[in-house]
Amino acid sequence: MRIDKMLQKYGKSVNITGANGWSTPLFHAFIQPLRYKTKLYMAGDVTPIGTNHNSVYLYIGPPNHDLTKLDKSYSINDSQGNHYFIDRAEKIFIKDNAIYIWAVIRQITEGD
Amino acid sequence: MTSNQIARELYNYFNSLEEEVFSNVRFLLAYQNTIKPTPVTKPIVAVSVKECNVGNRLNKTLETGEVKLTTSRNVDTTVSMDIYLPYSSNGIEAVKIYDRIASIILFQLSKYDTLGSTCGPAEYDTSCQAIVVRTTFTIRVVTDA
Repeated sequence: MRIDKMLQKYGKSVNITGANGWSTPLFHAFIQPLRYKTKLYMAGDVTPIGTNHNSVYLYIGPPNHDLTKLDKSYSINDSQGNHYFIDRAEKIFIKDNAIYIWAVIRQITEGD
Repeated sequence: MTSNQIARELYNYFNSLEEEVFSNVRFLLAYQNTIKPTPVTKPIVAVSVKECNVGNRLNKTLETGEVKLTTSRNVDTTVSMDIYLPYSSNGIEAVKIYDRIASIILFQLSKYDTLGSTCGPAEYDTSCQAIVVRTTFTIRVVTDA
């Protein structure tokens, strides 16, 4: 069982780029805001170097784009012009088959 | 001169310096209403007042030998200059930045009576998602009422 058809039908158009100019063609994946268990930090976390908005997202994408092999220098780019780096990625298996990639990704912000 | 003025002066001085060591370093006043870059990709030095100690009133010996209590006091201001680095760095760059800041404050900015300086180890700051090296400079100013 794979979820490619569902991703193709309902997912956002994304691609992955690397600092060395490497990039994938467009493919489809789900990128959704993570549901926070606490509302305490929803306004952002104030730090000495500026407010951290903690824009963390859940990524679900096809297994042929293996995010588990990519470090934080790679970015996921969506069709709205948002860029994300990978905090953590896992392959989700049914029996011995990877059916999708689950990841927590964080939005890249330039700062003021 | 107040503690806040000392911190601002240091921030303005380093912000306007054109030195190779600081070429990609951004100096800022801590807790400004700005958006933090995520991830941190270049070194950032956050300047703030960490501590301020106001001493007892100073004595003055008159020509007659009489000791008189003046209205002057020593004010020791500890300015923190925390150096934030990308998490991919190993902290060595922070030591280079600290070395240069320390040599400027201790040996070039003679207007300040610098009592001492500290530099902590490289640590990971989870809220900033960056390596941080915390440094301080303690500067003494004599104030009059």
